[in-house]
Amino acid sequence: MSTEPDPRLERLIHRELRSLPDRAAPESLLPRVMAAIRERQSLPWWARPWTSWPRSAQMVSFLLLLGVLGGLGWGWPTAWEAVGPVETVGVLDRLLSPLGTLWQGIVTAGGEAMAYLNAEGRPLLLMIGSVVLALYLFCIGLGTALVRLVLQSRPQNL
Amino acid sequence: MTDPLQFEAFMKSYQNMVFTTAVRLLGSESDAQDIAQEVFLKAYEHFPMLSQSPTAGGWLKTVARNLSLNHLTRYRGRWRFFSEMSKEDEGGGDYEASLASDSETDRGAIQADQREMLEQALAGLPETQRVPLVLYHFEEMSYDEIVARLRVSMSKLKTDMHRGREALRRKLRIRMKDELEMEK
Repeated sequence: MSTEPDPRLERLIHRELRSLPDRAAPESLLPRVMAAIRERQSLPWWARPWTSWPRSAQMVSFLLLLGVLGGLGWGWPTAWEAVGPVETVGVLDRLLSPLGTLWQGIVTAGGEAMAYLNAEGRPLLLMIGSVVLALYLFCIGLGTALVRLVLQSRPQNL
Repeated sequence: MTDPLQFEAFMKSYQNMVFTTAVRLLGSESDAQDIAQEVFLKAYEHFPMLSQSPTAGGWLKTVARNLSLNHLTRYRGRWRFFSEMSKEDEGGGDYEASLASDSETDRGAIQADQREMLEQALAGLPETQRVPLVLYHFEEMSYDEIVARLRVSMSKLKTDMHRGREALRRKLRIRMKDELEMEK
């Protein structure tokens, strides 16, 4: 079958399609939109889309985001290198020692977990990663199956 | 601060165009209504600019088209994730079968309400044929632009558009036959 455009057919189809008037929008569209707008307006400014925030709030939030990203990207590796995992537990211990025995228990467990991770870390992390990945794929599969079930009633879209 | 009455008037001027763009691409009135709502919510955010702009209609049409195509891409991706079977041609087969089954009764209906029939025929095309036809004939995009936007090969696009036009031609065969003969 030739699939090259047939100019005559293309012209006729074009003319027929272009002769179609616009479809009338459902009467419910306007009230729906206005209700959604009213609902949005009733929200505080920080709960609205970022693009509709006051300009000053946009600037401040943008600078904050840059600061956080910069801190994570540049400061965290430096701090981690300087302090190290064992020292980190020590620093946290000093900071939170007023919490008493509960924290001691957590510190002990944390220290043991750190020691275990140092010795057996890689296989354990691989195992945890595999379980997380398997659960993630399971969720995607389940979601896809549900979407498929829902969309079966609307075959014209597919 | 946007005046709600002014925005309502603006929306009334453009809602048919926005809804039509979405419904022809999506083939579903309920999905088109969702997309149209999204378009006008975006328009409300930019209303101070749009209310003064002579190209507001173009802006709305472009947003409606992009949101509709994104909607189709999103659902198509989800649908096909675990599916080995291509559903692309199933709708076409059903459509052609329906043409054959009611071919006699079509004749009168086409004459009675040709535009309605054409609109229904277009909506009944499978997505792979309907979307490029709408983009080409209504949105005035070139073949190259459609290939780039839909991320399909040129040969597949031509095949799909050819099949779509053939299906529409069969639906409109009475009138087109006369016109094609007149052109000879």
